[in-house]
Amino acid sequence: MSLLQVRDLSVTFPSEHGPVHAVRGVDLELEAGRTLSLVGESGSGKSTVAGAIIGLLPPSAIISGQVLLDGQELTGRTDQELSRVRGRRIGMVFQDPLSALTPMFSVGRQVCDAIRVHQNLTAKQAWNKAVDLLELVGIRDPARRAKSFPHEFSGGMRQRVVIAIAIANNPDLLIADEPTTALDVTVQAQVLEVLHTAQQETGAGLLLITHDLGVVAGHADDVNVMYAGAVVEHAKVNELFARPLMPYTIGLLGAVPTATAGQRTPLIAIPGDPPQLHQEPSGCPFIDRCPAAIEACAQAEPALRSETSGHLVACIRSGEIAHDGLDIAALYARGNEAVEQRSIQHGELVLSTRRLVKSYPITKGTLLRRQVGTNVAVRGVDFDLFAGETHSLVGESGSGKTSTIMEILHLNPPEKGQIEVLGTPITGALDAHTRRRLRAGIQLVTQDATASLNPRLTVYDVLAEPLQAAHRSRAQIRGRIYELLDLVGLAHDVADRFPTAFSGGQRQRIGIARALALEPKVVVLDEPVSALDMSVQADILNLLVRLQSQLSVAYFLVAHDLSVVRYLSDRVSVMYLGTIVESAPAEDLFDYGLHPYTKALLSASPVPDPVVERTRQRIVLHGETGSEDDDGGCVFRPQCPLYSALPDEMRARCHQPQVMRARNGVPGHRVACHAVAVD
Amino acid sequence: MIKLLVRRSTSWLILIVVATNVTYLLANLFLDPRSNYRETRPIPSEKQIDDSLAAYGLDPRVPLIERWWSWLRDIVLHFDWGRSPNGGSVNAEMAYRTLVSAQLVLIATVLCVIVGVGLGVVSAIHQYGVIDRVLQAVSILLYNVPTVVMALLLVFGAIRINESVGHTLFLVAGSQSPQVSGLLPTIVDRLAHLLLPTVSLTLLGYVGYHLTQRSLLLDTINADFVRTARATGLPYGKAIRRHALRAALIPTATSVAFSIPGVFTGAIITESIFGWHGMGEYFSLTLAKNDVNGVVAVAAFGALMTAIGAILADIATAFLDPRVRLA
Repeated sequence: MSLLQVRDLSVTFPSEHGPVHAVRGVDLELEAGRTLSLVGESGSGKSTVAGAIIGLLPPSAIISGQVLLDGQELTGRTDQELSRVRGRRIGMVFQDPLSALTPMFSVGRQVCDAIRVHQNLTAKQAWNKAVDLLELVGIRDPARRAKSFPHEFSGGMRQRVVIAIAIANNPDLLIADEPTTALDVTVQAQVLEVLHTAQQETGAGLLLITHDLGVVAGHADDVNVMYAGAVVEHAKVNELFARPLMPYTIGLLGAVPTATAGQRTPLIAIPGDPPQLHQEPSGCPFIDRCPAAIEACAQAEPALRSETSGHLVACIRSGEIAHDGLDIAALYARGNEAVEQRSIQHGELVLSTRRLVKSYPITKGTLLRRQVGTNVAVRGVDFDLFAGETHSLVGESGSGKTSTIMEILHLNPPEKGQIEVLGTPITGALDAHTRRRLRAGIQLVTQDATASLNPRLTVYDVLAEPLQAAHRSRAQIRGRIYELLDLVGLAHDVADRFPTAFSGGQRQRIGIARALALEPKVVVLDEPVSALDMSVQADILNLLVRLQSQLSVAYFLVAHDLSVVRYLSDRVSVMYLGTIVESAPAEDLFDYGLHPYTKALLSASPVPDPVVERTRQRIVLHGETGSEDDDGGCVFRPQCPLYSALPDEMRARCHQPQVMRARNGVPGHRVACHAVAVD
Repeated sequence: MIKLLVRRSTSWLILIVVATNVTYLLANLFLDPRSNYRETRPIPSEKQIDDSLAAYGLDPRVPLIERWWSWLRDIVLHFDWGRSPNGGSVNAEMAYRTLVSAQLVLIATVLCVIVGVGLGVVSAIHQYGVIDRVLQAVSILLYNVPTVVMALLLVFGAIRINESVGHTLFLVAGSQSPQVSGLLPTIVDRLAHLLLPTVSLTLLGYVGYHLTQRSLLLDTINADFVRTARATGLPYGKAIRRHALRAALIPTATSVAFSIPGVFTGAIITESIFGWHGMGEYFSLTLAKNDVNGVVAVAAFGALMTAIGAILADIATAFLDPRVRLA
């Protein structure tokens, strides 16, 4: 008998606009020791399935169908009855580790409490067990750290604690709901490894819920793809990635930029948005976005049925796709017509920094503030951006990426070092005219388009603002706004609508149009697609590529998703703790990255290909960023896998300032590590 | 923790001393004890008045600085807070009234907090449910009832019941009966007297705690950490009590602690309707009677209660949120 069986599960939430059918007839089956993945975009109902299994949906949810754990029915039980199952038989790991732990209790106490809910142990025994669990999930010095409070831990450490809580009573089933979405890639790699260890340690079945196809490829045995509250495809992981049958899955896989497909090749952008689930769809819920939709698709919602052995799909044309060579990927409109391949010509330098430093004072006291220390966010960054190229800055949170772009965008003289924008060095205060010219020349696209658009301004007003600030005439403004809408692919009649009327992808288009209003030479893209769903992300990436080749604008891209960075960039600089540790042409960096941190970062970034993902060597970093005192030496030293293996006299050089070394034979590839070979 | 408390207590002590002395100076500037004597018949001469005031250290002919010095010396050396313009001892009056008020106010405050927080939790758990709506409606109604109306309604109701049963079931006036002796009968008698004013104060005082605790708890009841606690196997109610309520109690603890000075001196209407001679009444009497020393003693008492409340708030916060101890 399977460990977990879900049969015909449906969940409906009441809302002001009528009932929302969040989950519609989902069947799942999970064996002990295996990993089943639920993958889908936001709103597909995957987290609701998890909530229904563990019984933690809000009381207003109407649940039907069966959830069987070892054959025992869980639906319809009272909270009291379910509370004997939760924690003991089912453990759960949540998405946001920053808010998942009670701030007033030490982490040891929280693990301890989780143990004592189900096991009759004395406080002392439970505490010792908690310390053991914390050690298992990789908390160093667990006996001491168990007394710490959650706010003293980083996000990755807190997620380890949440995992320790989830496995405290050796559950048979582990549910991980987007366990690494809020974490950096190297921390994600650590946490996934811990989750894997925990699963092996307990022999539990793992239900892994994620939107990240790379995580699925690396960790799942079986995959269920969810769309509009229903499972639309189910297969073993290798089968699914090699031979996807559902047009939606094919679209998703084509939407992710991959190393093999090459740079700037058009990505599949699934048109439109997922349906609102206020009524049950009458036909296939994907019909409006599907390139292969035919009349019959509108007749009835296709049931999930077996196409080839062990491969279930909910599409009436799956037979043609599987056997008759119907090529869905070719049917999808690729965003870009022909994008000409460009070579990096070193044109004019539009932006450069030399030894840029930015520090923040750490203050204490409420009434009499006094400075107790300095947090150096940017430590001597050299950065060049040439006209028409894309130069990316990658690194994890806290590495100083945002501080760097903000220092440049302020257009004020830096604390230390030099900034030059469009050939104008920023030394003293700029006169109003120069300032306005430079502002027009360097513009910003932010991560959260929703927050960056004033909800009380129409699209017209949003786009008019920068033009008004540049003293354009009314007629010029009007003409330019319609040009901009054409440029980003929005219809003219959206001009008088408000931002709330648009989907996330359309809002980001508006944000991009605003940035382009004054024909800037440089656009700073601060995580431009990280808040978007996969299918929409591809759409925006296509747009960015097209705009660059049309307008020859230079992009200064800041992003943490390496596949996005690789897709867009000509040149990439890797940042760690305020320092650029390696800088190189994009292809060169991704294929021959030299710095140990670059290597770790590249190996931690999941690839949506199960074969690659399971065979490659993975470097998992230990420890945490900046955990040692700054002595002017290599900032990566405390986490560096090379450091401990070096002979003594080499190791001593790690404590001295690192100089950028050029890689032989590759112009522009420089690395700040004395210990790696550069030929 | 001990060090923190000692430091806090010291700074509060300084604050009390300053506040009391400033009150002394202000009271002497604005209150005129001589006017009490002008109402007596036959009207005494100014000299007679001043002579009799001189016995109580209130003689306006003596420079203020000298009066202040002897007042301060008496307090520091003998803990003697002086005399009223008719010669009554402030110490005796304060001691009696503090006890009377304490009985009335402390029990009512404790009940207010228990009832208010309890109903707040019930309300929050059943947000927008029938129970929540009924409890809120009752609370909002009570919130709008003036103290006088509530107290008088209780008195009338009690009298009606007494009449209909034919003997005195509820005692509606005074804090004790004159001819009761023995320990047990005294306690029973005190409690019987306490019943109605306590009910009155509780009914009007719990409402604030109910409504604020409800919204405070609603802020934390859906927090991710409550969900984590439930996922470990804690039933809903227990997860809320252990995790959500604890976070939501911190602001309540602070507000309870700081309400102590207010309830001691603020129960004037309740005291006068039920015939209790507590601090509230004393506060208004001393002001009306130009009793400089009495007013200052009441102010000092208020400052002391504030300090005690603040320190209790510190302790309660540290107890509820262990992170505070680290600071």
